Amino acid sequence: MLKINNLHAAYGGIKALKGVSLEVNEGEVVAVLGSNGAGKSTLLNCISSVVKPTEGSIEFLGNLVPKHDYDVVGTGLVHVPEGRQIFTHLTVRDNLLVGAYLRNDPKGIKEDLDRVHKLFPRLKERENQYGGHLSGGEQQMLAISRGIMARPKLMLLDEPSLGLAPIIVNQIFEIIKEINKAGTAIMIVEQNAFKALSICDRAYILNVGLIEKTGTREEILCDDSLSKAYLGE
Amino acid sequence: MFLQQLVNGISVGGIYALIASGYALIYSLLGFSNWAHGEVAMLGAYVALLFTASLQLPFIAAAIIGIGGAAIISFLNERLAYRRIRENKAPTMFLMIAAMGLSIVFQNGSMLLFGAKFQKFPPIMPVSSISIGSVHVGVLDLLTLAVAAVALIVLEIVITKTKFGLGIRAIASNTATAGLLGINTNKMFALVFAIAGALAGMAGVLLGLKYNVYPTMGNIGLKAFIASVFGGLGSVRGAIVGAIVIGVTEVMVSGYLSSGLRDLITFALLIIILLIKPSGLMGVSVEEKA
Ligand SMILES: Nc1ncnc2c1ncn2[C@@H]1O[C@H](COP(=O)(O)OP(=O)(O)OP(=O)(O)O)[C@@H](O)[C@H]1O
Ligand SMILES: [Mg+2]
Repeated sequence: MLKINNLHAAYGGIKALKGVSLEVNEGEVVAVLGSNGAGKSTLLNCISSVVKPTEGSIEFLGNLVPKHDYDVVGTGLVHVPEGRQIFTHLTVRDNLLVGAYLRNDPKGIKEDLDRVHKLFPRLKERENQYGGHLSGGEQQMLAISRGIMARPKLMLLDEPSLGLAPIIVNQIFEIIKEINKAGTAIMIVEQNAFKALSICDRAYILNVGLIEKTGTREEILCDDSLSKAYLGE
Repeated sequence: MFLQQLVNGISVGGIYALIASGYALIYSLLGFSNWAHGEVAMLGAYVALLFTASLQLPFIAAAIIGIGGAAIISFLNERLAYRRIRENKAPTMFLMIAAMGLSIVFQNGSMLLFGAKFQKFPPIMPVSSISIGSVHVGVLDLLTLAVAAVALIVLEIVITKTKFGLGIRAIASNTATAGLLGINTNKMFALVFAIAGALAGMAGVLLGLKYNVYPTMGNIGLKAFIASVFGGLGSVRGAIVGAIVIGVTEVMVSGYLSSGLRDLITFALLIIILLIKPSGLMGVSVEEKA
């Protein structure tokens, strides 16, 4: 459903992506692994049109992704950004409703709110609190839930484990699996490679702007380029 | 006497609030002081004056045209000046400087166009005050109060209860993420500037009715700024409360002490509030969590 071909991106003179090609198919969980500065966030930002590629193409469901970031979510692709980026001055409930901003089906929105509350009962309890008053883990739950509220066909997740205790990370990865089972394809970008490999079908290893290795979960787990990408051998 | 002053003070505060709320709205979205906002009010007053005094239109029609004119001018400020600066990713300081430039251009432009003299709207009320028992209240003050109250209540409902308002609050909290979730931020900025402009235009016309129309009347924007800081920068509700407190204080100080002390006491009040509560009366402080 997502086809990226020879993608290049740069900030000023600094090249962040140097010809990345990858694919995500319906129903898949695909992980993109790499260490700091590998270009993972840049890749996701290109897909959601926040960063303009200098070369290459990105197709989603057979069409090029729209030029403006605000048109992207309407095509069924939602980006849950790095560092959660929740609306700190909005209540938890309003945060979720912004996720459904473009939708006009009150019944469906209500269903999805219930679904989110079932996945994360904590968010139901804190419905009327400011987003900024949630703990880090709760904020990550909120960011993912806000993405669910857009009813996406593909969800892009940028480092959902960032800065969270292992027990919360496990909980969040369980939920990601559930979201996928319910029919949403997932593209997850992580430094926490082993965690990401525990839920993905396939993975790509990104090393300073280039795909160094790709394969199924098992292939990547057995390969030594993984440790290379992380330990810099 | 006291009641009359109080009504007068609240109506002055209402005018400040019409300007301050738009000013706060813009600040909350873009994080800069729109120093041209008072001049938008002034231009709205001149447009209305032009249509009623020179073109002989009924006052209501002229007032609506003045308000619409102010909305368009405010929209154009954003479209032609501020948007370019934003798209160049310049620091917000540049936006503020551009706004100061616009303010000077508008003041001097209207000086050239309309002259520096004070102008008056033709009288619109058959009587200037009504008596309730022994209390005399200005009809214009009551009108101002009613118009400001209705406009500000509608604004408050739009911001807190509608989807459009949710979009505005989302952008104010995190512009980039609002875009990711499908909110067309440029369109929202344009609409907010138009709304803020319309409110300022309303203030300009009311102010012109109460006093006079003249090129530097937009300096009242400074009062709106103080009201906004007083209430908590970026908080629309705070700006409204701050504006009314300042309006009443000014009128009371002028009435009971001396009009020379008016600004002194207003600023003293501002400083005291900021010393006690640096985020302003109603400023929310929600820290970002990493
Ligand atoms: N806004 C920016 N301006 C300039 N350079 C940037 C910007 N964003 C990223 N870069 C550079 O692009 C490269 C890739 O950054 P990117 O954020 O995509 O990495 P990442 O893989 O997400 O890293 P991390 O794991 O630390 O989040 C880095 O060298 C970074 O310094
Ligand atoms: Mg990153």
